[in-house]
Amino acid sequence: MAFRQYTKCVSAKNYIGKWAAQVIVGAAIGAIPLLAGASFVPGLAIVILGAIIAYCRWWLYDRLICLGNDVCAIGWVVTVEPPSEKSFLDKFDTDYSFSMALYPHVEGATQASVEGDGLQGNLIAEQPDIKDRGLDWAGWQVSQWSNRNKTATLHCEFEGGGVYDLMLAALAALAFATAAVVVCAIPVIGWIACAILQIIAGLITLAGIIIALNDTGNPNDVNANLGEIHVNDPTGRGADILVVKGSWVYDSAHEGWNEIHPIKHCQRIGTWSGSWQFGGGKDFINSWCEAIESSSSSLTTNNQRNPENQWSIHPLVDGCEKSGGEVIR
Amino acid sequence: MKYLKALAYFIFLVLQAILYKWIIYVINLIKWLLEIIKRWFEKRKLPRYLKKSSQQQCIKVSDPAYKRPDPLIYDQYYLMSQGLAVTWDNPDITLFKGGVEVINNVLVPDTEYEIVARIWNNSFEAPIVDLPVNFSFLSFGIGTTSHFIDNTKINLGVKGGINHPAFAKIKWKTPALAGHYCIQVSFYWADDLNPNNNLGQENITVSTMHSPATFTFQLHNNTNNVERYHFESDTYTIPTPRDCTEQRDKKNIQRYTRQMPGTVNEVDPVHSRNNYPLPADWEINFDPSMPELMPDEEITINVKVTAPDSFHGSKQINIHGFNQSGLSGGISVQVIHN
Repeated sequence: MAFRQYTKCVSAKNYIGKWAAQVIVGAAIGAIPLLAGASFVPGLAIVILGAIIAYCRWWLYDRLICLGNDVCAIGWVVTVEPPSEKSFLDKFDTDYSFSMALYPHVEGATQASVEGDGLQGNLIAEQPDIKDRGLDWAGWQVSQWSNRNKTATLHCEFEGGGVYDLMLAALAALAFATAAVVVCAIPVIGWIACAILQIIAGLITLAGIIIALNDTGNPNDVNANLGEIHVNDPTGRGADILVVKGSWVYDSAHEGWNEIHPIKHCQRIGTWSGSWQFGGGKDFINSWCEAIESSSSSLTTNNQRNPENQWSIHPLVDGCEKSGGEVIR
Repeated sequence: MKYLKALAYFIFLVLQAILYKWIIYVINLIKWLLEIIKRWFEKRKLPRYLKKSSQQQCIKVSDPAYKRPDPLIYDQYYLMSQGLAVTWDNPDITLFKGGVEVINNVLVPDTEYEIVARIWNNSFEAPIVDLPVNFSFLSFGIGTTSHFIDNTKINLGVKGGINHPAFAKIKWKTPALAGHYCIQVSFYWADDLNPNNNLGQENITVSTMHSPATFTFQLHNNTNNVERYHFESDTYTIPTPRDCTEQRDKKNIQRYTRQMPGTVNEVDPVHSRNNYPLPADWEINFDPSMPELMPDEEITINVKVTAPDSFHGSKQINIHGFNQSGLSGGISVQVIHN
């Protein structure tokens, strides 16, 4: 099962806390304007890069609190938030997000009505671990246009590698910044070497920033296997109905809601027409979730490596038959 | 304690980076930079509509977690569009009567049959739940009108997984009017990676050779234009797939960056129509040979197949009808001489 994942969620027990995050975020924001001058002050770059690394590590490995195992959900897309629509420091968050109204709810569904539906509502309900720690909780209600009713939704994110790239760049630059501090103690030649090393550290950081801001996709960008995610047109129709599977987490960087982050499997299974066309309730959801689970089981993935499964046009055109196996014709 | 642990680990990581890991990070950064530059150049070559990464109601997603299925059947129109030879004796559509397979569609009027369609998925990762499959029948011929029989839903697994291939089954009571009928199976999925391989057709008849063999089929202009038709024939039958232990010729499965899945770059000789001509001592005549039909007009085409006296046994002949727009349909005929 191919997907992009840079973050790791932590258990509520091991979550360091938002205060640490705020200190780190404050230090990182404060570090940005100093970056330009850092090359001239030996040692300052180390502090700045250290703050960036700490911020990135918090973002990647402490921000998300695990709520359980991977979950699967079906809903229609109410809003999308591509990385291109983010600004300033948010730009480093290259995750692609969307919010979906869960099956079988329609536009305007309230948090309480969804939570109590007995189907998928628990996915957006406040979980005991979060409540016990006294973390912020608001739920996530959105509307596509300001004149429409808000809908309680499940937030889902495809991960981009922006923050991870930035952290690796900062770690690489840190080595040069440290070496600069050491050689700065040597007069004349050392000072020249110090300046060169500081410039290299600055260039590496700059390269990291460029890479981070561009890491919103991957080489699949130029592959034919592209999908599109649609939201409603002005008539309130046309949004995609998706089935999504991924890590179920609480994102402590937001105002307090649950989300699927990262998405490990996403499929478009229909188009929103203003009401649900699928019956079946729990069975419908289970059928999809079981089919997705089965498609990534070790039995299936092992079998997929066999030569009889390597056809790409039709098994009778470019496939092969296993000796003693079932005859295709 | 957990704060101290986090701090200690942070210091450890920083030291590790300063001492040796910075080399790996620098190499990675250079690789990513080159990747960005390469992608930028590749994107420049794309048509404008493909370059677009965001618009109001439609956002392109390139994340590998976004999966798309490709349900498919032996679709003669699609295969022929890729330059491959086809038979109208569809290997994915089978008729049963009382649990026994009906060979060559010799059907009894006003009788119940079971039609079974075999559906494949060209995806390793994206299954489908409740794929609606439609069944219809039409008069034996080319471009004739389709009559809906029934539909059913199937769960289609991924390649190599359970429910793959999946079988869609329906009951069909043949029309009271005796005649030869073709079966069509089609399906539609909301996010199909290749929606062009979703229509399979079973159009086969048997003709016993009485020197010459004669039979007829209907030709219907199902377009809104006046169309002139011509016919082509070949003797292609689906060859037995190679044994999986044989080495595979990679050149026919090569894919280029922007190609749609299922695109054939080079036709394997065993599936090329050029290699299945009617034998030189055989002759096939159509009457009329190049009819011009008004929109919705239907006529009967008389076919005469002449074989050498020495011919004994059976031979399949595929007849494909073309109009100005391309392939409009086809039939397969099993010519028998005992």
